[in-house]
Amino acid sequence: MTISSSTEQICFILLGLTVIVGALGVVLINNIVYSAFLLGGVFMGVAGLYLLLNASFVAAAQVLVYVGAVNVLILFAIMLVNKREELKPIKALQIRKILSAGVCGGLLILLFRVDLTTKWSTPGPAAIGEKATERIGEHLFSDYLLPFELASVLLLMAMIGAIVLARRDVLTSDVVTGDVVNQNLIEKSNEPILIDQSNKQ
Amino acid sequence: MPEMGATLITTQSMTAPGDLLNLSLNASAVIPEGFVLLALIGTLLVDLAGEKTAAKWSPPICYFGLGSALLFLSLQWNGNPDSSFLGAFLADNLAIAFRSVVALSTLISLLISWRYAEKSGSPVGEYAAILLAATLGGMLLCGSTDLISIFVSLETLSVASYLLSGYLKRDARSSEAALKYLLVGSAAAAVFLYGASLLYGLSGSTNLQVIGIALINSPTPLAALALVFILATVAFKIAAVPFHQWTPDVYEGSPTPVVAFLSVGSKAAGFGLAIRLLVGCFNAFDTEWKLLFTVLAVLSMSLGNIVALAQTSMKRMLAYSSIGQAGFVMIGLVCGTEDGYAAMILYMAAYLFMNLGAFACIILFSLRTGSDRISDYAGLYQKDPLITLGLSLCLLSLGGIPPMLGFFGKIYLFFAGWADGQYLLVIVGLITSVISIYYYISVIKMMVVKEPQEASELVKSYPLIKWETMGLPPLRFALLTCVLATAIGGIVSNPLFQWANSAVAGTPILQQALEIAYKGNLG
Amino acid sequence: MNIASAPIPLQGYLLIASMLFCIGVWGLINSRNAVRVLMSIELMLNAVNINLMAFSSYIDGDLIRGQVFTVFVITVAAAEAAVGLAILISLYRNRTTVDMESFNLLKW
Repeated sequence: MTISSSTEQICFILLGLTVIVGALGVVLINNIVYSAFLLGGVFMGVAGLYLLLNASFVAAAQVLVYVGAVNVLILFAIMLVNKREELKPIKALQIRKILSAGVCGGLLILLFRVDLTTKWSTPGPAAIGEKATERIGEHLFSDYLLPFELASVLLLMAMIGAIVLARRDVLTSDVVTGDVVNQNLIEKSNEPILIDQSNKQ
Repeated sequence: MPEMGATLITTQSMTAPGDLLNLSLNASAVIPEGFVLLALIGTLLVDLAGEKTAAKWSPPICYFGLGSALLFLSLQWNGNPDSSFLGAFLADNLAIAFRSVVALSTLISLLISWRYAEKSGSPVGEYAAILLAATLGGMLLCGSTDLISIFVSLETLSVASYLLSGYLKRDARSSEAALKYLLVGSAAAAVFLYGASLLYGLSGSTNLQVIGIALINSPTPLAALALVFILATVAFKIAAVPFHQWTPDVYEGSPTPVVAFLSVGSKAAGFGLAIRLLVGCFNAFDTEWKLLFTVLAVLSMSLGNIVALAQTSMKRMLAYSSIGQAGFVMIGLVCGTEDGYAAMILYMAAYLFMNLGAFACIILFSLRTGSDRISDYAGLYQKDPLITLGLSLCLLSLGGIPPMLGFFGKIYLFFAGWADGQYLLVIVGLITSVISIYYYISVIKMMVVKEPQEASELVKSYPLIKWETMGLPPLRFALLTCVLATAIGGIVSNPLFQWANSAVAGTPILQQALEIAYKGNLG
Repeated sequence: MNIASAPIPLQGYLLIASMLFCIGVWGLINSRNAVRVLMSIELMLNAVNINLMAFSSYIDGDLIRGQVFTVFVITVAAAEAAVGLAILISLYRNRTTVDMESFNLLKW
């Protein structure tokens, strides 16, 4: 056992603990803002794991996109919709949580069993290490060209769609007939929650 | 120079990165998608010129894009099924058939949506662009043969669908439907990815063909787990019970033209993916997935059709009926015979016309009255014979009454199932068909036999029928086309039969699977 | 670095990924805040990414297709998060709540 390999093991254990404890915090802590920050911690921990796997490009992408974009976006959303609201109590919430914990525990045991009993075909070909970035570029322009191009369409469409849904200004009139419109479904609600049914009849 | 390695086990192996430029991508396979993409960019560009210009120019651009896509798809028919993009995409006849169904469903959905979008005051240009992006995702999904392409095209289709179902943002029902769809859909995508990552770990490749070979060589519990994970996502996409919970909510809350697309285009893409994954990749687990799909089909047919009986909203009823219809289509998948696959493709094509025809009618009705309650249709035949006739024909066809198109599709499915010995499925299918006829007929009865004084308030104050408003002529055209195809298609269904059969004959993966099954029977 | 003498076995990464995935599933089922549901989905996606990265360097060391897959997952996850939050905000304008239990205009 050399120093480098034991350092690597210690790093792995620390990062693994960060990820798992952080993830538990994300789902268990009541304050959603703390959860969001812990989520950032989980993302950083995962990026550290990628570094241990010699994947510096993906680690950088993870930090840039997940921590820099997704996590900030989530924090923004929390701040925008952060109204202190009294949640209505639900019957048997505790039982539901315990039951689902049981189900997830079962799934976990199943996954563990499969992870540990499967004969993985290791060791595979020797890792290319620092050449990984170059290789990813080759892949993106050869055998994964199609998904790469499609991903650009996906991002364009997500951008346009998010703008359309989140912007405030709406059309107030029908472009063809000029009637007043309100961007509701044409079909009126069948339930009396939204529209008072009495004046409709 | 490190070996780039073979992504394919066929001829296209790479030797060095420098050779990449000389590789043949065979990109002509995606020319139809190219036209859809052109139309997408075109609608976005005209949308920059303002809402009035967009409302005027988006429709012709979309017709052009989708029309050329359909034209080029028909030119590819029986072409050489070489894989393109180094194994990421395959344009065999199966893929072409499903891609055509997706493109045609978008075309008809767009025809029936212009007036709806304008009347509800939502931006038309962006609407068309997002729907075209969903089409692009759906079409590529039907032909993808690589886990990464499958994932990205699946997500393009899904994300566009979330956006479309939340498109009427001032309506809480629409936003709520979109949020539910998004949460359930993303969770399903994550589960799919977990399964995909296990497959990658098992085979060290993302190509379905290579994974299929690896699965034959090592059918471990890990592979079974990956099968379950991936199957759950496929079942979510085709809305099979018990992965159907999102369907009624999303269908009720989304704008109706979007529902028309989701119930046909998105579902067809889901079935294309199912065949590609199950037949092309999980052939080693033939018995297992057929058993699972038998259970899903029985549950879908019975629950979908029984719960549809109790619905009061037309959209919700069609949602449950579409769950039941997906159950019928699954019979063909479970058979795994030549007739089974052909019947599946034929029924998808028939379902396209009859379901979109029904949606065209209920959109027209809701544009005129603002309601989709079944009871509001009472006595409609005196005020609007066109809707009454069209809706009646389409619903009869969905129920499988001769001589409509749906009848022949269903008979072919049941025949294929019976020939393969799937007696349970066929019997459940027959019983639930009778149930479905009951609720379809009760709608027709509501429209036709009510006395004038028993008509609903909305029908009594029915507006004068006018077709001049922009956006209504395309709707009428789509309605008439679908109804005519549904009514006459049954009588002249022979070309459709031949088309479906040649789709199966021109698909190498299906032929291989049939050959293996045949050898299994002999040995 | 030779993988055969790697100080950390492949299974180590897989176990972390499994735990992360199950925590994500639990959060998905039990969260009442819609934003937290989105966060749970991100946890599940990260679990998948760890899996892919580990397989990529232990089994597919020279072609690293898993790394490419991860890059795509990250891209799509970002788009999905943006769309999800846009939908959430548009819903919040209509309902002024993010409690999953109160989203019952449409019956489950």
